[in-house]
Amino acid sequence: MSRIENHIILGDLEQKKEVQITVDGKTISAVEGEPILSALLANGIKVSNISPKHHEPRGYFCGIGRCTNCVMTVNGDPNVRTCITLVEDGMVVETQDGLGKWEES
Amino acid sequence: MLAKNGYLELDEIMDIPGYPGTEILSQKKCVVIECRQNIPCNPCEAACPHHAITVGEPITSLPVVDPEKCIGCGLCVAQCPGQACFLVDQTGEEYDTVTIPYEYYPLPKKGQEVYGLSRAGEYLVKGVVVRTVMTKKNDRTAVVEIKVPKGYAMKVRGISTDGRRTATETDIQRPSDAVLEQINDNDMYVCRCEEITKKEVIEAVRNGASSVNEVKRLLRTGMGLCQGRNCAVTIERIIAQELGTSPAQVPKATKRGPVRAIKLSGYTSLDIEANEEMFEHDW
Repeated sequence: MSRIENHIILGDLEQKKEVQITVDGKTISAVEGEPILSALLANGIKVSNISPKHHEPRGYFCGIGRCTNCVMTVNGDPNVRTCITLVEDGMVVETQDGLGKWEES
Repeated sequence: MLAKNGYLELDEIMDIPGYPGTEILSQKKCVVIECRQNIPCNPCEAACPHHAITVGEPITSLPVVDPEKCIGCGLCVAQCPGQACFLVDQTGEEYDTVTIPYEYYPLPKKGQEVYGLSRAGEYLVKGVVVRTVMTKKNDRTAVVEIKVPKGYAMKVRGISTDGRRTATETDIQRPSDAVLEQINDNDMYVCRCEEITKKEVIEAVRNGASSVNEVKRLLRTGMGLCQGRNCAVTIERIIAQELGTSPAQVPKATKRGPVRAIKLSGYTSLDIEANEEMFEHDW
């Protein structure tokens, strides 16, 4: 999926600083200040987690922080809603299996 | 029909107060407000400097057009969030003109030939752009006036600059009938977090569950990560449908404050001191 660069209502895509995040070991670039989900979609990553009961791949559903279908493990914390969590440089995002596990510390 | 197809038919417009009347339209350029859903909305009323549009109280009333006051300026066309305001001019001898809101790039230029589309988005007839207005006041909605052959002013309600993105287009990718047939309503997930299908909810209701809480105790719907934010209303409707009552009569799910796991560091990193107000809950 590509980003919408100019849109009559949304306006032109602003040029912002790029940051790097790691998704399942792969480094992708994201725009500073955007939600994690937005960076994932712009890089063609659609699967956020594997569902707990039927073990099916799941992607985002509502995109506004209500449904929790887009939860992933972010910096070791499971069940982080990627649609409303903003990217930070060096973030480590992982596809979550089921309800996820806290990192042993 | 609007409720069935998502667009209005011409005869559904004739009897609403936003339609100034066939006689008036043959005499002067006037606004036609194709608004027949009682939406709580009134920017059209505020947009008209000549007070030709009245919504009044309650705000869900349909807009009433006073054709005597309308001068055909088109300020309301860009202001209507539902893009239901159009200017119709059928007074010309050779052609009619129709003014429509347009929110796509590229904007059509004066003199450009465009494809006139019906309310259903189907290609009807070619038209020529008379003017394209895009002022700051329009708030990013362009207003495009086009010339159409006589008799088309009440039919053309959209344009396509290149003949694409119309309902009559043939090379659109549509799912095949075989794929559509496989879609079974009963297999859809009602509770996405706990992965409960509509079939399971119906079965629970047939086994005696008659409220959202009872379905929850049988199936765990609403006990997943989202805490029933998405499924509660859907389950209410399924129960109502199965029991033949209205959703309002189904006992509501117990509502509790949002439960979300927060790391302790989330609290310890706060740079505020607790006061009494923080311990008052409104749930």
